[in-house]
Amino acid sequence: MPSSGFTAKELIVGIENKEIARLGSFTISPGEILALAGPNGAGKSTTIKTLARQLNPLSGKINLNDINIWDISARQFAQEIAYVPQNLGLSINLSVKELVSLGRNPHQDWWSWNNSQLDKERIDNALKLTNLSTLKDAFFAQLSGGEKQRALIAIALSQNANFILLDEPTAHLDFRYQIELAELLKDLRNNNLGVFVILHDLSLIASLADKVILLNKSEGNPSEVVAFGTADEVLQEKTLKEAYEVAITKIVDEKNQLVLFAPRKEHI
Amino acid sequence: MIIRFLFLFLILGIILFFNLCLGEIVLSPIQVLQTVFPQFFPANSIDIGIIDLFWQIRLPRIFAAFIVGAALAVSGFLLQTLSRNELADPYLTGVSSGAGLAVAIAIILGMNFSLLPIIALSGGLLASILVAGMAHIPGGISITKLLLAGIAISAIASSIITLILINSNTTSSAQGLFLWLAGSIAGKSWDEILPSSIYTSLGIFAAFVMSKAIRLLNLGTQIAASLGLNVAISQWTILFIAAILCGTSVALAGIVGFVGLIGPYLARYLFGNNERILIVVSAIIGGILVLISDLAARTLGQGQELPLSTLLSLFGGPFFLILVLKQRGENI
Repeated sequence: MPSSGFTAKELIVGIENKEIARLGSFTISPGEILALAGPNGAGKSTTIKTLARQLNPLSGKINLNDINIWDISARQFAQEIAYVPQNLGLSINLSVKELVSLGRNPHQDWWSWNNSQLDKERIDNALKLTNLSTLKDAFFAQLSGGEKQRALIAIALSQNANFILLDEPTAHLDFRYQIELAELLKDLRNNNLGVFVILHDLSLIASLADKVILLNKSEGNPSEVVAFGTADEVLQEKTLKEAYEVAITKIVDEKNQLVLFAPRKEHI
Repeated sequence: MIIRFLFLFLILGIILFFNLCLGEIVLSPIQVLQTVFPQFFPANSIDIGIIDLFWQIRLPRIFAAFIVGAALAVSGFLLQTLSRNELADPYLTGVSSGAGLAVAIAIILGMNFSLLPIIALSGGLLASILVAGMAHIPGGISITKLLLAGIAISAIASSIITLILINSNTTSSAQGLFLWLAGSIAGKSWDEILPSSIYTSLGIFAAFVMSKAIRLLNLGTQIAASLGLNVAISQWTILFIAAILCGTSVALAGIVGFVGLIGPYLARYLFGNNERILIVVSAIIGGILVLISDLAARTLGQGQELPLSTLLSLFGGPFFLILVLKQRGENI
């Protein structure tokens, strides 16, 4: 009986044979949000790129429903897994709707420009979920940072994959859209998607993630997993200090069901 | 959009008209009509020489000019997609020089003219594979490496061509080579034009089929791959099509510059971002550009024809510089 899920086994990621992070084994299950956190340079983006099949793992296996992700075609992979890279100054000369339509590519003939009724529904739905319906004719280049980020997420949503990988989706978003993004990710989870997300904001992780992988960063050595478990288990002052090498105060706002984190200066 | 297309075809029509009429012997519009539609425009006496001039010299020349322009412009458009830079064209990426070098060697070796298209195509393909191989990085092609490798290949190929020219034993073959390299579409026969037009049509059709892959690649290789595109196969296919188109044009008319740069640029400027439209419009604008240059080449030269590339470079060079200045600080 094949296990459903997106699984990494003894995964070591890196670039050009240089080990960057040792992730160990983990599973992204349908209906679950798995967050990856850790300091800058810990290899979070390298990890997500490896999961997104953009980089080869240095060691270990990544399986999708018990099949190695490198044994399926790019198209099959894209039908199952959507990837939202960081929006690093992409120059895209398309309207929002044209861009989001491309998310349907894995479900269409490779030469075909024809959008079926289902394609159109998925595209409209993706635009609606990301609040971009009114901006659908605007050009990507004219959008604000946050709108661009949402457009990239909308492409992935129209892709209608079972798993979605997001690299710092809140990077360009102000508070309001951070909340909206959090709600969006929860919606995806409720629709039984598996979500893997890199986040810097520990409070957001605490309010969202079912599971968290916390990486450290040690000079000269590959990063290791400091803790892996539920958000509650992982986001402890002790483990956070180990990962970020700075003392972090954890404050619980029980009335609003919020957990806040603040770094503090501490003489060691 | 429709108005812009009508305008484009109007310009094409006007240019075609001038190209048919003007030349060393000036044909009147009436004479042209009498030659093309003798049943509708019966002439009392029409010179058999004029009919020959029209069918065997002027019309093939117009076809050749249009094919060269269309092939180069679409080739440029494809290379710009691959490098994600509007400054890429068959010259900067070394494809033309590779094709040129292959043809130069073939001419000096005294090879049959009918083999030239295939030789040019192979040379262009070889150069493009070499350049793309050097520019290959995991997950795609590096823009900077592609352009730098292209410039180096062009320089090496040009030097070898110069050496061949200097050391060639017979002045006649050297002169023939020189004229061919400078770019000329004079005296092309239908036998040479037919295969070129087939290659060009197939290339443009293939580019059309690849249009969605082109749009995906324009988003960057990362997003393209994540949307299910086989990036490596798509890039190689597009490069192959670009080499076929460029090789065909080089075989037919020698090295003609800047059409691959100006054609797609004007197409984008006038017709926006739809790849399918851009491929067709680039081809038409490229054709118009070469038709204008050829018209100028055979009318301005006071009895002697100017090389086609001289005029295109004269206007294309400054155009390129303006684009470079415009791109400064962006993504060059």
